[in-house]
Amino acid sequence: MQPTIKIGTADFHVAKAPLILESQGIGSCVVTCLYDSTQKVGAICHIILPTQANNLNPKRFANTALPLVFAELERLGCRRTHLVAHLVGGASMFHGLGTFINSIGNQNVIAVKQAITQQGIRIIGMDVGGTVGRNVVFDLRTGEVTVASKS
Amino acid sequence: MDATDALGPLKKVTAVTTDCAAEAIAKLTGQQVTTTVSTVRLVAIEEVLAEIGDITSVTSVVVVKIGGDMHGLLFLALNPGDARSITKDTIKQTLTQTYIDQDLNVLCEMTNIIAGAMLNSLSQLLDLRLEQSPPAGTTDILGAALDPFLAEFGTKFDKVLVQKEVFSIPAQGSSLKLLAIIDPPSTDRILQKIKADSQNATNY
Repeated sequence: MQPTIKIGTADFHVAKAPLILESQGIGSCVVTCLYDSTQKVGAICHIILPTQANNLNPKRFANTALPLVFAELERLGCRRTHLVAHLVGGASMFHGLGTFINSIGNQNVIAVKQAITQQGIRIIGMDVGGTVGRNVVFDLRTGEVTVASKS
Repeated sequence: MDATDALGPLKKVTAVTTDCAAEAIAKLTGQQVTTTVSTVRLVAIEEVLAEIGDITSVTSVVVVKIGGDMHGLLFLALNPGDARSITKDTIKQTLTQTYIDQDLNVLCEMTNIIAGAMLNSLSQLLDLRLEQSPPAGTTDILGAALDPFLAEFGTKFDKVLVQKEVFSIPAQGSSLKLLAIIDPPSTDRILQKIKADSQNATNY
């Protein structure tokens, strides 16, 4: 069994194969899996909000966490032209509890897509939206992303 | 005084709301209820999920948002098997059906009543005007169900006040978790009210 690193809410991790990265309990959050197959280096970034406000933890927000991840990937020898991305999450888990709760998942997806495509990184897989929670496993040996939901 | 000391006065207040919640659950289910875990502490947004247990487990969840003089939410969580037992006792049905949406509806109504009991006692105790939203429920991965609410707190705050209660129903072998999550300005408001009330009591 390969060693697995679990990445929590508002956190990211960059690593090399043969590690497996895992992030769990993804509702309105968006998890971005980034992979460079030439280096067998990848990252999981688990954001909960689209845009930073009030100098809060930068790992919480798409617009501040992802640039930190890109920098770390480059430090490990990845080139942006080689990177591909999978997006997971952005669900709308509840209705009737206000506009923020209804829309935050979709706002997160939009913000992450924008941050990724601005860097010229291709998005090759998305499992986003809907009303279900998700868990994601990212195998850095192959770049394979496996998404599981309750059913 | 550190943050933990500052929260000391809150424990008397949360003890009252916990008793009200336990009493409401006991009346609804017709069963004896015990409180097995009761904590109140300030928790970083990123750490709140760890307070509630296995975030990957499929869990029945009901949320009621709190408004008025205090902003936060009540989050009831229990495994679907326990949800089945509890709703069975509440609506006196036979335990032959599988878990269905009806159980979640019953849980929503139970949470509405439990939240009402807790907020009513808090309102009377501290002279606060409190409102509660209609309940909303789902059965899904626990962490996923909580994270939109953490996101909402996370737009403004680093930490929130988390009151965690675990209620057990020994006759059923079931339990349910209740988290009350309150934002920092509301926590300050409650602490100020407690301070003012204790000073008034001393003045008498």
